[in-house]
Amino acid sequence: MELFLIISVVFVVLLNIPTTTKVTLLPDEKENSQITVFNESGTQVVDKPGDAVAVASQSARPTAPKAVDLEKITLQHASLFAIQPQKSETFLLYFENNGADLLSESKLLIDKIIATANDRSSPIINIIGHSDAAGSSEYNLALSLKRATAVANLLQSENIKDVEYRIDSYGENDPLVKSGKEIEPKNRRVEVEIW
Amino acid sequence: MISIIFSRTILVFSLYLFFCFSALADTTFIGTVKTVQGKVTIQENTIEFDAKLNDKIYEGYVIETEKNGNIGLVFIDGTQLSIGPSSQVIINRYLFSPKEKSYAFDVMLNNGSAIYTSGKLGALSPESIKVQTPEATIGVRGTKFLVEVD
Repeated sequence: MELFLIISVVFVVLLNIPTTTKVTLLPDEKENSQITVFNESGTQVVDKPGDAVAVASQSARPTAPKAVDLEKITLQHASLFAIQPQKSETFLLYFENNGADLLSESKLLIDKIIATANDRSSPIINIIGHSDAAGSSEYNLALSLKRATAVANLLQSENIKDVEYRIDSYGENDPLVKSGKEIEPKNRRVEVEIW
Repeated sequence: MISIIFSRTILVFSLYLFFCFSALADTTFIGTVKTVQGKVTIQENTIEFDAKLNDKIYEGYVIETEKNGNIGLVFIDGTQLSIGPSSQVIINRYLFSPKEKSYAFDVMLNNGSAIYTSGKLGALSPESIKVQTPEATIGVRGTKFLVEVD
């Protein structure tokens, strides 16, 4: 019993070894990348890729951003950088107004989608239906699911190895082009994302 | 009458969709293991197992990598989280539901290193994203960053 108690105390002490947090903004193709690092003692904005801030504890303000040697960091964390999953590839398929019929130029993309999926091991294919904002949002949700399902049926007839499908519809909630309640052909789409 | 037939048609069609994709009925998973190297364990309540390629990830998972372990996760919105050696990450909360416009991303890095790369969640609702460490919280906007705790 006493031994058990002593061990617990040691365990607690080990967990309390103080750590330091360091956050580095990495270069990315997205524009206007920005992070905020904050705690009880202050906030620091980092908006320049390659800048880092350090935080010693909850009671210490994050340090001012400082440029770091990205090459050195990449080497230091070589296995972490190498394990990053391959980026996804996205295809956009467009539809006739009010229906689930693919436009003919979009039909031509199906073969390319299949080839891309076959190039990856155990691909995940996200099929997401979207609509424009004309009509009620319930109607648009159902319509965009119908579009996603039509694409899923096309792809599922090809036997892609170890594939996993996810089918979803966002309706009018994630427009490609911001528009009012009017018809917008660019928003009548199915997004096929291959991981 | 016509409207009854119409709503029945919709019902039958919805059921048809449901059965077509009943293999996808597991809607609670929030991501998958896309890459893994060395020893990485996943704990959920009292269960513990070694992470393998294509394992599904759920809210509440605690992911631990050993000295030789690295793992790459892809969440359903496309957010990537890669975790380096000797690390512990807790997936506190994840919600990605554009239909209801509900979003959450809350992970805790207790120790080690990780690279976060934003996905759709970062574009649709950056204010919902929180990456925590014992010392600080990181909020994001369309971003890729490295976080180290040691």
